[in-house]
Amino acid sequence: MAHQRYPSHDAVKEPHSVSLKVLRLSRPSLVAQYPIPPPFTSVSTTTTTTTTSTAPPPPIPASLAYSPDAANGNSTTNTNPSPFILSPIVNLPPSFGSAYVGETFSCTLCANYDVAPLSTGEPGTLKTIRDVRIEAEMKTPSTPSAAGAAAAAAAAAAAAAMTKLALSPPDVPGAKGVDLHPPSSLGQTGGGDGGGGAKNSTLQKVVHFDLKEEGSHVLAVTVSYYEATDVSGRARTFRKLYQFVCKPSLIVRTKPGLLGRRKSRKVVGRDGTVAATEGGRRWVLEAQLENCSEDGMVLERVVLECERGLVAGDCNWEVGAGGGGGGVKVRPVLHPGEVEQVCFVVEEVVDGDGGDGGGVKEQDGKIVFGVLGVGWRTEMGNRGFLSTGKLGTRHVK
Amino acid sequence: MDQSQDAAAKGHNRSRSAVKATRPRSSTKGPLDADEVEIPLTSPLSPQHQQRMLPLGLPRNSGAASPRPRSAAHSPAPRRAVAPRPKDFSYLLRPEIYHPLPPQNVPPPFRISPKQASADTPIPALLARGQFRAAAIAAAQALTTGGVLPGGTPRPDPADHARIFELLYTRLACLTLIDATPLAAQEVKALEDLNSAYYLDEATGRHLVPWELRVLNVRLQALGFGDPRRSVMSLYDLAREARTRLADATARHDNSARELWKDRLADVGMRVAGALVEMEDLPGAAHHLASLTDRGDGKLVMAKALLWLHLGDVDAARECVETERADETAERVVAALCDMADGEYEAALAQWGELRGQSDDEMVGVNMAVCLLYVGRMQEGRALLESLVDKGQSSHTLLFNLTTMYELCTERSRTLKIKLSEKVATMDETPNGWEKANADFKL
Repeated sequence: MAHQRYPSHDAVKEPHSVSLKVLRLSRPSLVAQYPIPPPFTSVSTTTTTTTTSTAPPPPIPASLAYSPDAANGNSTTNTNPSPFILSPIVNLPPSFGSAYVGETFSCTLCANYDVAPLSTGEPGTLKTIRDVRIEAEMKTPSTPSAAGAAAAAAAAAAAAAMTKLALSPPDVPGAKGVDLHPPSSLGQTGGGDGGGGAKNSTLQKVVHFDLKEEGSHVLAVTVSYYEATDVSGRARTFRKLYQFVCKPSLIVRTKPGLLGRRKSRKVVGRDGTVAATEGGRRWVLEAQLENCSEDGMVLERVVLECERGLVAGDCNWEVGAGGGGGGVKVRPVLHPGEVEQVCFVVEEVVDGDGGDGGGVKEQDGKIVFGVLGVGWRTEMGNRGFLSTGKLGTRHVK
Repeated sequence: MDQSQDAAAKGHNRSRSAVKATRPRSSTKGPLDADEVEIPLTSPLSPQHQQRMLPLGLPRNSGAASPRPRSAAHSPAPRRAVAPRPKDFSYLLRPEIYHPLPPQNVPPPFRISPKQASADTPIPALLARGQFRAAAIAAAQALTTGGVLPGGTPRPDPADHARIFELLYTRLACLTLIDATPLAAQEVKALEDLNSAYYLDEATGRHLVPWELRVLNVRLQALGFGDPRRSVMSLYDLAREARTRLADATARHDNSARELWKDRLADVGMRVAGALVEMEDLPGAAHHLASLTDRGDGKLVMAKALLWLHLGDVDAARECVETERADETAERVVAALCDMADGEYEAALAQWGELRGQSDDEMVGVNMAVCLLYVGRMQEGRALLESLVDKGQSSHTLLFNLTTMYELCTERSRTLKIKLSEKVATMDETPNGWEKANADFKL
């Protein structure tokens, strides 16, 4: 969507012999289908009262998302749940989509042998492309840069401050780059020669980056290679910038409150002595989680990671409780704009022999509970995770 | 949906605020009043209601089914007192309903192919050859001018509802197959309200419109009128009728009819879930699927698992195939999809590879190729997809993924796409669909 491209900066005007193509690798999506019975086979005439008929005809194959296994056409091995709308076949991401804080940004980078076809009549000298390397960096909004200008020049100037991304599959350390070869024409590649020994015309890498900040990000990809003809050779480099905006996905609002001490209880000491102690102090931490993205999400887990000396009890939905029980187990689903309220009871650990005050430290009249972590999944299992800053309360007593 | 059970017992008392004023509203009874003796569509309605449900622009006095307003207390009039007169469906024969389907959206290799059928090819032959655009055009021509050739079949008699509805179904169905669903959603509006009494056979009370067309009409009208919730209600209407007919058939010990209506009822049940998915009410769809019973074909468990995946709840998808009896292939397919959803593309790739050793399923091949791209082995994925094309497979998904890979392979992907379209145009004509659109090749 907010996916822009800047021209490459290269002293040589001649077109590059290597092209760079990228695709954001969001999760693939299940393909929808709308199965319909074939026309001109209606099994029952419309007006007759006595319907003499067999089963309805199977849907016309063209209305299914894919053709069933020809060899095992029977329904027991058919994987298609027609007439259901979703099918198990998947599509690659059709577009860049939206990028959200908390998600992992994945992208594939393809450096291709792409020597321009020679103009007519000119005898072709085949170029050899050797030692191709790809490097990728990410500029985030907090990356120090010249006045934060989003322009390409500023981004390029800030290159030194960018985060270098790991590429997978990783390069062999110390090895040369990859040699690229002219692609074989369509039809020849179809013969299943795609095995490891084949002469590659593409160097493909995948990068991942955890999105943690809102705002403008720039993915900068540098491709370097050695271009040789029969008579000469030179090293060439180009760089492409892809800008996108990362949006917030979840707003977390919290509110602490005092719950009062737990009633006194008996604590068995280490040496077996039983002592009645005063219960620890307790607080309630409520949080509202608002989905501010444009997609629905399933809340997978919401946890309060407590500071030392505190434990938290979760008053929220039950997840994975046995599982067998039957009924639909419900993880909260948040449509865009919807809010889920969660609640934790935070309790001071009163250690039998730990001395007064438990393990909780007060700082400036404030008790710090810990951080709230929220994990969610969106369409086709795409993960998001966010944790808050340290949460606490001034209601000490 | 289930709350409407109580409401249904008392009659119409649901809020009407959700329906656009521009549309006639049909009866909205709950799904569980299937045991009514009377077919609900013929159940007494208030006169105003019945009046409102008449297709707009129809001759109001064309049949006994459009009674003059009577007092509400006296509404269920004996219909058979008047001899049925043939109904006039000429409002479906107006040429202005049907849009032209220009060939510009079709890649040249298909347009100029000798496989293109001649203009006098009968519609069933066009369907069998997967030439759905031609079939859609032929159906519209048959409806409006009575065939293409001079001296061809005459335009259908406006009273010949069987012929008219068959052609109309062909037209709309073919439009959905050539990615022209928005056009179909416009053209279907000509039918107006299929719940109108005008569409009932006066002698028998049965609906005149074939079941397939009524089912297709639900989705298309919801799209055409921009009111997706209507789909669910209309499907429940159909389900109620199916239940009634099922009860009839059971009472008559008519086994084949009973099987037919059972199948149709199950079909409608799945389509309700689909309509909820289209409305983005995925939790609602999950609840609905949980209420259906498996018919022993393994489809329900697969549908549930896919819905959980679509929603993002991968654990629920896994549990679903583990706790409910899914057949082994289905279980492995879901397991591989779950790995993909977890971002474990290497593990998924291994699973697709194993499945591929056992079956020729196009889905397995395509999904494996997609995994190859995610793990950085696109060249192999591309070769795999091309091998599927060589085997004669050409689903929209296969072509979409392959052309996406072409776009990643070179700046000059257009050449590759055109070559691919040339290759697909030489394939045999089958009901899988032969003619493709430019969009299939991202051209």
